[in-house]
Order: sequence, then structure tokens, then C-alpha cells
Amino acid sequence: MDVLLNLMSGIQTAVSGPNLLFILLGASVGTWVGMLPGIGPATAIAVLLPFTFSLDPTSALIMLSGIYFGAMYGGSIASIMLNIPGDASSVMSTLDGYPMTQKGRAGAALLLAATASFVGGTLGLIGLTLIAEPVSRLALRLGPSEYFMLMVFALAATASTVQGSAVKGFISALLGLAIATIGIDLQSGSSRFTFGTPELMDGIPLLVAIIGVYAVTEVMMTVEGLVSGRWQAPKAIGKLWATKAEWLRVRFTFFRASVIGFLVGLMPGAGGAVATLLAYSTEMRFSRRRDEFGKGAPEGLVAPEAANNASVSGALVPLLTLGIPGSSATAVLLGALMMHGIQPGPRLFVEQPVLTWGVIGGLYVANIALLVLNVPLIGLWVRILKVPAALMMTVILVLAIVGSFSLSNSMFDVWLMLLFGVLGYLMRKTGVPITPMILGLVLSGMIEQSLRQTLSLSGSDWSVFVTRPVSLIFLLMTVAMILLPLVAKPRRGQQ
Amino acid sequence: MAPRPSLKQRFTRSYLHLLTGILLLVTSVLYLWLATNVRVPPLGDPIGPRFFPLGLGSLLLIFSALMLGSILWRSSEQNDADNIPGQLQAWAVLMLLVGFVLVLPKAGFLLSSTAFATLVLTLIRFRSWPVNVLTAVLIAGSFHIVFRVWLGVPLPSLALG
Amino acid sequence: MKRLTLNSMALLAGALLAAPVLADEAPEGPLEIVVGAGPGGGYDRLARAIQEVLDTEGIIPNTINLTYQPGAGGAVAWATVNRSAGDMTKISIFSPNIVTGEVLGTDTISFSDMTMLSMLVFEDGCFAVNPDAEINSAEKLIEALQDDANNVRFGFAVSAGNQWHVAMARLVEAVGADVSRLRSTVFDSGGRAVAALLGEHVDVVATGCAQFAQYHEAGDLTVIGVSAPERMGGVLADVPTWQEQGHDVVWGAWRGILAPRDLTESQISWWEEKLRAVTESSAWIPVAEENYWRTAFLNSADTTEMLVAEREEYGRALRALGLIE
Repeated sequence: MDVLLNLMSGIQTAVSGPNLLFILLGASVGTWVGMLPGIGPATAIAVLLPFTFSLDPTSALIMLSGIYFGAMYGGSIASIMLNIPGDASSVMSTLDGYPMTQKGRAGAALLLAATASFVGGTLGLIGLTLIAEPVSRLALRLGPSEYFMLMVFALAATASTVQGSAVKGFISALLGLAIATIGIDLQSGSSRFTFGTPELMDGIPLLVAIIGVYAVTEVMMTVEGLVSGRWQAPKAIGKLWATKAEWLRVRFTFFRASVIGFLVGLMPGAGGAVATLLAYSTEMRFSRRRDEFGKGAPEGLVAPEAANNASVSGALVPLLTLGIPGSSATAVLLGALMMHGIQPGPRLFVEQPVLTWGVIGGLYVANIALLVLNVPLIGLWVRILKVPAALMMTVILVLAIVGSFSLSNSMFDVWLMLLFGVLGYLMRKTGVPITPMILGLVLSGMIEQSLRQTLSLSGSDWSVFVTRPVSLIFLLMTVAMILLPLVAKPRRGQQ
Repeated sequence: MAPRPSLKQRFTRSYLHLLTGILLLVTSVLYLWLATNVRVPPLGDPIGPRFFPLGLGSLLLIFSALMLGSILWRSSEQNDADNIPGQLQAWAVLMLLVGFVLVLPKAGFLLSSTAFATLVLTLIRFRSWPVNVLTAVLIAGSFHIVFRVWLGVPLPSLALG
Repeated sequence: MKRLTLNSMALLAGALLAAPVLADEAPEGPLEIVVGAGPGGGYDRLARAIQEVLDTEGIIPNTINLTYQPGAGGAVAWATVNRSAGDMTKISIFSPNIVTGEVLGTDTISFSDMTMLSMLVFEDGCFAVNPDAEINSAEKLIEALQDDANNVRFGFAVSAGNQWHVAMARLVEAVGADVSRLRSTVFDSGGRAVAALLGEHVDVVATGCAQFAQYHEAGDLTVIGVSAPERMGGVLADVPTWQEQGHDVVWGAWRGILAPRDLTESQISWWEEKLRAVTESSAWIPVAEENYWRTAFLNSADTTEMLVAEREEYGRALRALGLIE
């Protein structure tokens, strides 16, 4: 059991001396920073990276793993308490997390989220420890055609989870897909919809859009509600602990979602957003209480939380064993590793075992540390709700401005963010759901590019989508996803 | 059924829906038109950079038209005008934000965010000027410390800080 | 703060211009390297190397700050720097993007509008294949290309018409095949291109040598040719150059330093001297080796001259690839 021995010594490295302190420090700072709108794990690591330069590589990387998981949990807190996700992978957590808060179940939601993150993260790490190498080789066999079909499948899955009018759901998704085509086209170098503006060449930054449609829109909705007296502060004091019924409802969700998250994470580029999306829609499909989703179903919160953390461990597999970053957060992590003189790749485990296993051990410890740190703090987080609305709204607005500016130090992004705020307000007022738009933004580039990559690699031969088995499976699943609701009895009476 | 509302009533009752519907339709037409102008290099990948946007634009056009149609058709179901004072305040907050962003590069972060916070606090809930100004100073100050000093975000600044 | 410094800099520059200048004009206060990508990228690594060497070798007394302004392959940062005309305290790092953006018509800014201070390093191109695939050697690749370039699936990152695209095009031309038949696919990062090669979704990938070193050593990929005038060091020492194999392909990426427009002669020569000192210092050598950088210092005038020639050559190559008319 070489692996176990290595892992043990890794964990030992992680808890020895000041390293444990760095994990705790990283996890708490990460949580705080991650709560800010628009600051997800990728940005958190990028912002805090310079602070680690003075540390030795092992401590620095261990601290970064603490920041990573901390920022993810911070994003969940903001999603659940304020309906303002930090980045794309915590968008799905707002769907049922925020309704739980509105029902006075904020404490339970935070506890479930913390537990789901812990279970997902730990199961994912066990996967990483045991099957890292062979599985990552297998994941490489998936090429552009498989990616294309997976993304289409994920989008079809969203369409099936949207509440309300189908036309509005499609409009939202199409808007997101269309907005993402702004910028320079990868395959041809043509600039599309940029009007010669250099700031638009790289496209619309996802985080700017997220800050706009969530933070600014949420404030506008709240201000409107305050005047009519219709808006009421969520009841902060419910029972902090989740009920036995709630635990029972989600006991299998933890595991289903973790497996989905880990598997999606293994595929370079698929990322946390796709993992949370698939976990959520799977959970909804299997649930007998389908109509409770979107109204505060605990499964709807646990699924994306567990999947998100499991996907991080999944994404670490190709990063550490092959040097291929699978998400924006792991790309920043790769940069951080290289800054500290470490080149992840096939030689990493052989050449720097102490360091590598130290990092993995650090991740295990960071996972536990987060649970231990945050469960007692739930009472404190819930108090966020007691902050007077006027003060909270002001702080969120200033945060939105600072957050969008700091992404690339540009006022242009701030204006874009405001534009998205207006768009989000109009959408909310007219019942157009926001989630499909954000997911369309996330997936658009990958859908288009993998389609075109497939066709140029196959020499314009469309049949590859059916002749390659994995791509065929995704295709059949997509068709089933679209046809099933038509065959089954209508879900809702209206419209 | 209530008596059929007049055109003016119908417009005020669903002004936000109409605005959004028309904006969407205009956007999709504009998007389609711009998509046909995308430069396609003489060689390159089989479907080129125009294919995907054209497809999206066409679908968006169809669905926007459907949505606008249903907005006009079901105008009696919409009720955008039930809380005009609230909406005016929401737009006022947005205007304050726009003002903040306009002034920010010229006046620096500390000054403009203090002014902005004071005005928003006053707008949402007026307590008294001293309380609002003090709160605003506290907000701006803590942002300055957390972001500028600790995290090193280079916010626009003046000699004052 | 920024604005005040700027104005006072301009005043200072004006005052110094009026007086007879004897020594090179040195900047006062902190210097700023505006990095045109996020932390951890290629631009950042070079910026940090320069910062570290300037600092540890004590070449200049000023402190050096790094700020990040990612976007459009660096063009956003260059535009920012160029807005402070005559300000010698702000520099940025450029890459072949500064030429290809102009040639492809995607950039609104041209290098001739800014001050090119110096060329610093070359990042030579390596071509790799998968040892388990059908095309697993240089001979097989060239055979397949000569048969019909449409047989070969070529992957690269990060944008159409960049240095690796052109490097491959030159190889195809050098072996007498038709460039326009090549099946090229762009990936959004070097890592994704390598992943596609490991998974045999493409037959050959060209990119900076540093990216391949580990895979070559581990035997996961085989580097079959280097598009540089001489062989690489380290684990890539056994790989012959394309010239050694009889194909005249020398093409790669380079990186240099730019400053805003309207710098004076003496400001330029101050920077030239300091940057030359960086590349000649002993602290520089290990950093360059680690990153597979080939040091190639050029002064301001020579850099501009080289960029003009590169622009010409890129224009020709991109026309052959069918990316521009």
C-alpha cells in the first residue's frame, strides 16, 4: 500500500508545524474573500497568490489549497444567504439555497452545504488518491466530438429543469450563448461583434456578467420591494440544525452528486458549472418531489454543492498527473505551482513526491478544517441577515463595483457590469429565468469550438458524432432528455 | 372578465414587458445583421465563424417574436405598474451607480464611494445626515483598507488616497 | 496619485529636455510592469524574472511593481501603457501577438505607435507526436504531409495565425506540400492541445519547447523537431532541429519590452542599458534555462527593424494559410 503510506506522510506534512496554521488561515481568508460577489476560487487564488511567495513551496501550496476550498464555501454562503453567487459553479446553489433562506432555513442550508462540500470534496480526493493515473489517461480518449455532445446534453438538461415558460427559458439560454460569441473567434481569428473595441476582443468576462445580473439586480429588486413594504427580511432565527427529515431526504444525494462531480471534473475543461448542472438535473429527474425543486428542496442544494467540490478533486487529476488544467481555478493553480518552481505533469509524482503528497494531504486536511471552522460559524453567518437592508444593499453595490473593476483593472468592465444589472432587472421583472443565460454564457464557447474542432479534424464528416461510442451515448441521452417530458404526462397544468 | 382595457391602460400595465420584448426583438435583428457581416476567412474550418451566430440569431428572433406576441396577447395578465414608486427608486439607485462610476476615475475611490454610499443610504432609508455620512465613511474606509491595503487592488485614486 | 505623478513626470521631462543632457535620464520613483495576462502566465513569468534580476543584482534603485491587465493577448495592457505618452516608468512585455494582431486586423494599435525598447528572449518551437499513434516520427509526418497535407491533423494553441500556426505552415511548405490542405485546429490553451495529442485526437502539435520537456522525458510524447537555429538543452538535447533534418524551418515566439510613445533618446538608452544588464547578469542564466528561453537582446532600433520584417513575413504566411486576403 504505497499510496496509503504516501498519503499518510502527506497528511503528516500538512499538519506539521506551521502548515496547519497556513491551512486554517487560507481556509478562513478564502471563505471571506469567496463571499464577495464575483470572486470565485479562481479569482481568490489569483488575488491571494502574491501573499504566498514568501513561503516555502510546500506551505504555500498547502495554504493555496485552503484558500481554494475556503473560497468555494464562501461562494456558497453568498449564494444561499444573499442570492449572489461568486462564480459560475455556485450559480446552481442559489436555485434552492436562497428559497431555503427565505423560508427561515438558512442555518440548515448552510449546514447541509458545508456537509455536502465536505463529503463531495473527500470522496473526490479518495478518487484522486486511488485512481488518479489510469483514469486521467482514460479521460484523454474523450475528444472534441464527445465534449460537444456532453455540452449539448448539459444544456438540454438545463432546459428540462427551468421553471415556468419554456419560451422564456430558451430566450435566456440563447441570450447567454449569443453574448458569449462576442470577441475573437478562436478557429479563424475573425473578430465578432467587437466594434473594434480592444476590451471586447476576449469576449464578455463571465464574472462581470454574474456580478451584474445577480448583485445589482438583487439590490434593485430589494429596493423596489422595500418601498412597497412587500419585501421582508428572511427570518434569521429558524432552527439552526437541519431536521432529521431533511438529512434523510439527502442521504443518497451526497453520493450520487459526488460521483457525477468527480467524473465531470476529470474531463479537462468541463469544469464545475457543468458538474453542478448535471448533478442538479439528475437529482431532479430521480426525485419524487420534483415540484419542490426551486422552492427550497434540500436535495437541490446538496447536489450542486457536493458535485462542485468533487469536481475540484476530479480536475486535480489531469492537473497533477498530466499538467493539464481543467478549469479556470486549476489554471490559476497551475500558474501558482509553476511560480513556486513546480511543473505538474507525468514526472511530478516521481520527482517531487513529498511536495505532491503534501499538497494532497493538505487538501484532505483543508476539507476537514473547513467543516470544523464553519459549522460553529453558521450562527455568525446567519446574522448577516440581521444587517439592516439599507446598509447591506449599499455594501453589495460598492462590492459589485470594486469586484468588477478588480478583475482586470478596467472601468470598461464596470460599465458592462451595470449593463448586465439592467438586463437582469428586466429579466426578473418579466419572468425570464437568469440561470440558463449564465449557463449559456459558460458553455457557448465550448459548444461552438468543439463542434468546429470535430468537423475540421474529421474533414467535415458529421458522422463521427454517431460512430464514436461515447459521443453516441451522450447523443441518445440528449434525445431521451428532450423526448421524455413529451411522452410522460404533462408536469404542470398551466400554459 | 373585466372590460377590455384601453390602449393606454394596456401600455402602462405592461410597460416593462413591452420594453423587454421590443428590446429582445431589436437585439436579435441587430445580432443577425451583425452576424452576416462577420468576416469569414477564405480558408479555415468547415463551418466557419458565421455559422453558429447565424443559427443562434435566427432562433433568438423566433423566440423573441413568440414572446412579444404573447406579451401583446396576454397584456391583461401583466401588472408592471403596481409599484411605480418602488420601481422609480430601483432606477434611481441605478442612476446613482452610473453617477458613481462616472465620477470614480476623476474623484478617486474614497471620495466617490463615500458620496455614493451617503446618497444610497439616504435614498433607501433616511435616518439623519450625520448617521448616514458616518456610515458611508465607515463603508468607504473599510473597503479602502480591505481592498487597497490588504488585497492590493489598484482602485482609482487621488492624492488623498 | 497616478495623475499627479504623470503630470510631474511630464514637467520633469520637459525641464530636462530644455537643459543640456549629459547622462541618460533615470526615472524617479517606482516602476511598473503592466502584465498583459493573469498571474502565472508566460508574460507574468518573464515580468517576475526581470523584476527579480533587477532587484537582486541591484541594477536599479527603483522598486518595481507588477500590475495585471489581461486581455486580447496583451493588447489591452499595451494600450494602457501607451496612454501615458512620454512616461518611462511604465513598461509592458510584448509577444508576436503585437504583429499578428495588426496583420489580422484584430488590434487597433500598432507597434510603430509605441516605443519598442528591446527584444529579450526567444521561445523556440517544438513539434511533437504521440509515440503510440500511426504518425510517430519525423519521417512519417513528412511522408504523410507530402502524400497529402489533408492527412495530417495539426493542433495548436492559442489563436489562429499565431507563431505556432505559422511555424507549422512553414514546415508544410518546406517539405513541398500544400498548406491550404492542412487540417488545423485551434485549442484554447497549450494544455488542451497537449491533451488532444495524448488522446490521439490530433497527429502533431507545435508549441513552445518548455511545454513538452516533461512529456518527452517521460516518453508520453515524442518531440520530433525544433524550429530553432540550434538544439535545445536539457532533456530535449537529443532532438534535432528541422534544419539538421534538411528542412529550413526556423520560427518561434519572442518576447521583448515596450514603453509608451514619445520617449526621449536618453530615456530609451537608459532602459536599453538596464535591460541589457539583466540579460547579461549571472542571476539571469538559471532562470532562462528553466523556462527554455534563448536570450537574444536587441536594442530599440534593431527591435523595431526586426518587428517590421516579422510583420512582412507574417503577412505572407497568413495569406498562404488563407486567413487573410
